[in-house]
Formats: sequence, structure tokens, C-alpha cells
Amino acid sequence: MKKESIEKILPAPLRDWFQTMKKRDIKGLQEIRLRVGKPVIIYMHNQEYYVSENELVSWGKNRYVVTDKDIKETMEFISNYSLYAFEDEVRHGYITIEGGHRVGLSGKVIVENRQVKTIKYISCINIRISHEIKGCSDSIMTYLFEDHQVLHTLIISPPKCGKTTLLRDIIRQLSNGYEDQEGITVGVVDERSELGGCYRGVPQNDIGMRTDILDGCPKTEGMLMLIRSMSPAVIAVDEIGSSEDIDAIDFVMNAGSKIICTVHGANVNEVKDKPILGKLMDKGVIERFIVLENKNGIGDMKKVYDKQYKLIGMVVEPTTNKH
Amino acid sequence: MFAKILGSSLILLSSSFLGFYYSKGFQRRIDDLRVLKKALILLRGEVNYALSPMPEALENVSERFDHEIAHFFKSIADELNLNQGKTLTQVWKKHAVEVLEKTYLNGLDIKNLIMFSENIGYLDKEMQNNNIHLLLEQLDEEIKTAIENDAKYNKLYRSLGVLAGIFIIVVML
Repeated sequence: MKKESIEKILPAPLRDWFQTMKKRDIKGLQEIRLRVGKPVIIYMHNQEYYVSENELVSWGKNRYVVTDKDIKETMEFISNYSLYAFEDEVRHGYITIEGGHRVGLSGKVIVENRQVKTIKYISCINIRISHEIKGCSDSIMTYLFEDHQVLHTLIISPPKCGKTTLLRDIIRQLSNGYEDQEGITVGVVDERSELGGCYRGVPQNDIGMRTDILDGCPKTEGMLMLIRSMSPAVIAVDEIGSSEDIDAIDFVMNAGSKIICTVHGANVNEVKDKPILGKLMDKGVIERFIVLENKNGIGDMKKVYDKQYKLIGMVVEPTTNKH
Repeated sequence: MFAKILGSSLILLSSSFLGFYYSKGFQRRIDDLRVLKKALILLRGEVNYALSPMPEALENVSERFDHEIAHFFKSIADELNLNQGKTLTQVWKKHAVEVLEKTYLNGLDIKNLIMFSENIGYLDKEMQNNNIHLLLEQLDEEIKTAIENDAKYNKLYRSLGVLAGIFIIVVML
């Protein structure tokens, strides 16, 4: 991750602190939250920190409080002084910036004809730092193939366990080729611009050389579009959930493409019990389940199950690999 | 005698020149206001149809004509691209005062321009348009007044220059 891409969008009072950040801490940076009239909160290595006199502190009286001006400045920098060019993004509540970081917004919403028109007075900003961790899927890549064929895979993970990061790396490896596997065409529907972190349609993260990406496209339509237009061998999507998603996955499978997707959940059984996802599980078409677990860090335990929900592999990452 | 004639003609020349120079001032301000108006219309197009980000929009507009106002836009774009953490309004103000001193725009015009900068970039397209529209209306108003004043005072300044010269000569002789 480039330090500049974040520094560029911070309001002046927070830049000094950010410049003194050490490399190791930048790696562990997860979120920067700005709320008007409240202390700025930094999430790093899964801990909350505050800024006090240009230092990060985990507790203190002199915490820096975000002003209205800070928010306004940040919005100017995020949108490159041109919020008008991001009307659609603001309507959805987030903007993806250079470097693939996602900036979530909330505040006073203006509604017209029952449709959200824009967020007028932005009062809370959440900067979600995107981290590429190349190689984080090395240990599980072997489980995704059978006779040189990619398998339909579902990644199950609680929030903040690095499922998007893992999916991104899987996409990269499938696309570039992995060990003796030739690279294949991967189609990505990146509804929330997290996988590719596209800036003006160009992926900022490395998602491989044979990857076609639809940035900011609704998942359901996107999957159908890719099948029709780019003939992908594999389609990858993040966070499926609606029944339309399931129908689209059916369509993808019938078209002969493989699917790799992620879903929120704690374990296989929990996902099975969800009404919509349960339907997908009952069909027995998914061939691999990867469950991420959060044991004192992010996604440092990966369990792999096969079609019959039998545990076929377990990977424990050393905690030094925290992100 | 020869010296007297030379002196008087010098006085007459310089005072007439002053008169003409002042009368031209109106016309020059009108020209500058018109250039500014054109620049803003171009900027509106950039914002509306190309959705270019502000620095890019300002730069694109500045390339379309050669005038101090184009330099003004260009210098704002250049400074914004440095990402020094200044807001658009700060940068705009700074350059408005610097660059526009070189033009014939007056204090009121500069004030309108600075007021305008307080609301750009931080709004949706609709508000952006209203903002540019408001400034364009102000400019139209100013141009109208300036043309009226030009018609009114143009002749006055010229004749005042010539007559003042003659008056001085008469008094001195």
C-alpha cells in the first residue's frame, strides 16, 4: 500500500501524525474514522487508537477532535475538489479512491421520489484501508483444483477476517497461473470496488493478467454480463446474499464457468441455516468450502472442507503474518 | 518662444494621453469581464458534460485561450495537483489576488470571484451549476453597468484630458 494515497486525503491536522507512522504500523492500519465533534479513531492491528499531539495513543485526555472543517477538507481531497463528479458514488454511500481504499460516508440524506439523491451534510467518514497481501492464498491454492480443474468454491468468514483479501489473491493466482496450473480467464464482478480497487476503471490492485473486471456493477447483472461478453473460465464475486445472486450463480454454473465467492458466516452449519444461502448449499454443487477463523488476529486459521462438508485441510498462519 | 511652444505641446500631449488612457480603462475591463465569462461557461461545460475533476477542468479551460485569466486557472490547477493539503478556496483566493492584479478587473469583481470559490467542488452537479450560473449573472450585470458607464464617461475623460492640458497652458502663459 502506498502511504501517499492515504496521506493525500487526510485533513491538514492529521497529516503530521500520519507522516511519522512506521512501516509496520502502516501495514496494520485498517480504518480511519472521522466523525464531527468526536475524537478521530484509528483502527490498527485490531486495536483502537486516538491521535493526541501527533502521537497515536490508546488512551488519553488530549485526543484530537474532528471538526466540521476537517470533514469538508477530506471530502475535497477525496473527490479531487470535484464532488460533483462522484454523484453516483455518494448516492451509494462510498467512494473508491486511488489505491483501492474505500471511503464510506454518512450524514444528512436527501431523498427525491423515494430515491436517495445525495448525502448533503456529510458528518462521518470511514476510510477503509485496502491491503493487498500477495501470497496469502498460497497455502490453500492446492485445495482449489482437482485434475487441473478449478472447483466451485465458497469462502465463509466473519467480518474483518480478510476474506476479500484472500479472494483477491486467489483471483490473482488463478489468473497468472499457479505452480503447474496454466493461467485462466477470470471474470470479476466488483460491486463495491474492493477487489480490484479500480480507479477510473483500472484495477489498482494486482488481480492478474487474465482478469476482466466490472467495477461498481451489481453482482447479479454483472455475472450474466461477463458470461455473455468475456467467456470467463472462473467468475469471482464478493459477499453474495440475495436470492437473485443465487439464481445468477446457477446461470454461471450452467454456462460451464466455475464460481468462487465469499459469504458472511461463522461456519458451514451457520451458512446452511440461512434461508437463501441454504438453498445453494442443499443443491450440493459447491465443491470446496474455506472457512476463515479469527484466532487472535485476522484470518490466521483457514479450514478447508469438501463437498460432503468433510474437513480436508487446515492451515494455521503464524501470527507474524497479521494484516 | 520655441521652448514655450515645446513645453505647452508636451503638457497638452501628456494630459490628452492621460484622458484617453482613463477612458480606455472601461473598455479593457469590459473585455476582461467577457473573457472571464467565456472561461466560466467553458468550466461549466467541463463540469457538466465531461465531469472532469476540478484541477483537470481548470487546466482544460486554460488551454483554450491566451489571457491572464487562463494563467489564473492554470496556476490554480498546478497548485491543486501538488496535493499540499490546501482547500480549493484557499488556493483560489491566493491566486485571485495575485494574478488578477495584472488584469483590469476591479475589487468588486475579485470579491465576486472569491465568493464563488467558496462553493465550488463541494457540491453535486446541480448546485455546482447554480453557483456558476449565479456568478455569470453577476458578470452580466457588471458588464451592462460597465458599458453604460463607458458610454457616459468615455467622452468626458477624453475631453477632460485635452481641456485640462489647455487650462494648464493658459494659466502658465
